[in-house]
Amino acid sequence: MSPINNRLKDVIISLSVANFYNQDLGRLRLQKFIYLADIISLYWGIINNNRGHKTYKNGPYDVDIQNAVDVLAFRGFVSITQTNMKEDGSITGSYRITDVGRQLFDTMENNKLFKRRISLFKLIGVNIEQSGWNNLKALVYLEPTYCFNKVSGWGFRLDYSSLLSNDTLRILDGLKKMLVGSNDSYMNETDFTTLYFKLLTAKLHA
Amino acid sequence: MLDQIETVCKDPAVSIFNAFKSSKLRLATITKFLKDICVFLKTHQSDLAAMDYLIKLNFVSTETKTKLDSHQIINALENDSKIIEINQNLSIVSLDKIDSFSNSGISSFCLKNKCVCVFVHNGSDITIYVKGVPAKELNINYPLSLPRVNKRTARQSRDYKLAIMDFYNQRVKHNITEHWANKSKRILRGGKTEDVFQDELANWLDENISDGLVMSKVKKISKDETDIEIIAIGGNSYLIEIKWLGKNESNTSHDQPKIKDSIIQVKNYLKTDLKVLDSALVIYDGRDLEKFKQLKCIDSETNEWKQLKECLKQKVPIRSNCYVFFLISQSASVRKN
Repeated sequence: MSPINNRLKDVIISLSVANFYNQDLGRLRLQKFIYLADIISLYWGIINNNRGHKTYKNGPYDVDIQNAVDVLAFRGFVSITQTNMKEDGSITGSYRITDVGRQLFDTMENNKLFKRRISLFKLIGVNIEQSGWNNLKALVYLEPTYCFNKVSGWGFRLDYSSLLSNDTLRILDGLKKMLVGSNDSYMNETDFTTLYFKLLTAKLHA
Repeated sequence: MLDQIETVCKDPAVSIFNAFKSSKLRLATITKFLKDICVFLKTHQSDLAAMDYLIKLNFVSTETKTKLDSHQIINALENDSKIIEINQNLSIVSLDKIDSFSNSGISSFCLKNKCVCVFVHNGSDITIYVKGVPAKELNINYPLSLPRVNKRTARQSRDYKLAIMDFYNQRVKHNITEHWANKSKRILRGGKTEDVFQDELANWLDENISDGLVMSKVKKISKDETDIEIIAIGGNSYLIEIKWLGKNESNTSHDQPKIKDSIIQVKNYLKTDLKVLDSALVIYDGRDLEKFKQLKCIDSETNEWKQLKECLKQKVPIRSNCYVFFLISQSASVRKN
């Protein structure tokens, strides 16, 4: 599956989850929502063949996500709301899942292949809802992998597919070992994701 | 990044997860349970006012019969059940009693039962105990505020005599009570001199006695009016009678016989009020230091206070204590002892 096809799924799931909380996602918030899922997808056993996000001026950015959402909008699975042209000529807009897109999501939900991915995105949604959707940007800016690599300038590829380069997973793995007790002990994905958000929100209101 | 990691480690849900790692408790479940409790307390804050109680967390029960609400908590407190055990459905599992809400009391209860407890005090401050260890203190309205600081002079009703000593050391000794009309001539303020001390002491006790109700100028069935009465949670009551010695600006003066009369007065109060567990006759001495020194005592702090056993052959009754506090008028640099 090509990276853009992979992102088609992610966009459909993200916008469906956001819609559950009555949220439309703008271009940047959509990028960030998927980024938060990408960072711990390895722990969930979800191996992506994405090219991944790069550091950019408004946080991590993956061009494949933008292309995917544009394709979905063109095909009618996603609608574009609240479009606006800013003074600098850039266009802002929010994306919302359409009824057809919702049907596509329902089909995916009934397919075992997407089960884990959908569970992960749903849990990300639960945790963002608890932290506040307006904090989505702040959560990503506090995410260790991005934090450590943003100093490399724009266009630096964030490799979250390996424990060696995914700083969040390294920190969470250390915390997990400390909490659970031994190196081999298992922490289920839900608890691991809760711990992930505890790490992200730790400095949120400080 | 290290401070983020430290914050995660100090998170109460993480502490609970760590303490109960063998019981397969879910971190997400604990987080939600704690959050639900905070939301409940915030929602019912006005109903529950400043009640103190302990919530014991039960992670196993799935009972849904008795939903936790303000009425249930008030009913439990009325029946002296200050421990309310609840489950994740915010349903009451059981009620229990506890002797004391001191840190050590809660801690040992929690340790003995190997459980998680949330101590709610002043209505909005909570302390989370995990297997006896205080894991987190926070205010539900201002979660980022620093933990409440224990007041240096806070006492329990039973130690009301220490609170009287504190009052002398913190206020009277330094004339914060403004009892002198003419300090150099040792003349006390006129009018109702007794009220100067009584009002200030009543305020002090009200602010510093943590587990009781302080009442001033208490009238009961008879016409007698006692100066201050403390009624502790549980029903024990303590009586305080205040007198003064020396001269005031209205030219009234009292000397040693006043102590004797006051002892008799307290004796009579105790005869009438059989429910008073203990009492204190508190006398502020504005006479010369030499006269104060002449008082025979059983315990004392040099030139500051004395505890008398008797005065002019009048013995202090069993359920009473008589303290005479010397009113210092000279500054520390002038005093010779």
